[in-house]
Amino acid sequence: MPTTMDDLPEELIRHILSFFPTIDVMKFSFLSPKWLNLWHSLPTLNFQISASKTSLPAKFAVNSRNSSLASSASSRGLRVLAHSAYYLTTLISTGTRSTSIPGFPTPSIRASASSIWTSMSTF
Amino acid sequence: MASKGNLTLKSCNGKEFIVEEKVAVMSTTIKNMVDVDDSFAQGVIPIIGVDGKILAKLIEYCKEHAEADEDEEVKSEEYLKKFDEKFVDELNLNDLYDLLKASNYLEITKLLNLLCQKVASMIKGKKPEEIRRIFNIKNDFTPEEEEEINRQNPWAF
Repeated sequence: MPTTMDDLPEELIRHILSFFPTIDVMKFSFLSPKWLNLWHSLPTLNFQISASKTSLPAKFAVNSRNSSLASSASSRGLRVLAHSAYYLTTLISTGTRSTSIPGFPTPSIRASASSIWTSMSTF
Repeated sequence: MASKGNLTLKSCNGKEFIVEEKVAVMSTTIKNMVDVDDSFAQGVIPIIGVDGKILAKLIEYCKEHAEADEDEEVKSEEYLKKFDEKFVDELNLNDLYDLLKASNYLEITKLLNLLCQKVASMIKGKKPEEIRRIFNIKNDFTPEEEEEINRQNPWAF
């Protein structure tokens, strides 16, 4: 029987994913039911959003109602590099809305908002 | 029996390789075995779960890197970079998986990182369906589950 990626231990998959940009980790998670929650364990979510593309992945991440994400979110950072104020506004409003998710700690929302502004100042 | 300064590594299918200690201890796992128990340094070190073909590849990689660590003049950084590129480019998918598992188990960090980067480069920018095809990943989702993921994350597909 040839080895397949399904045979690799999860710690090894995580190591491989550590070399991916966040968006590719999320896509990878959608490949198999057992990997569906892999991206939740990323220490930081990094998104780079260009004006030509929608901010859907970042919105999805912020909005995710998964409880395991919410419970680990206090130590999580969300870094977004956006190329236009429009997308930043969209994201921040999304972030604000997500405070209503039960268990989603407020500090991380504040941290994410400040990271967004910090990132914006570089453009 | 290996002479002084050499170690004997034995693959799971019985192939023996005599390698210089500096090459073998590129693997943290082997280094720990030798450090803790002197008898390993004298006798044969079994490399569980790694066959002769993969062990030979591991040794080839470690030899180049151990020699480069010792003498940068002979094997420059540029030479190593080229060696690494060629090394990963020549691997088929099955060998790539087996080497990933083996370098993880044997804790050959440099090689493990190189292989992980290779996988990352093969995945970057691809759609999930393409990634499944490249890596022979079975689609275990029910049609309903797949539709739900598609609906929630149209950006990914």
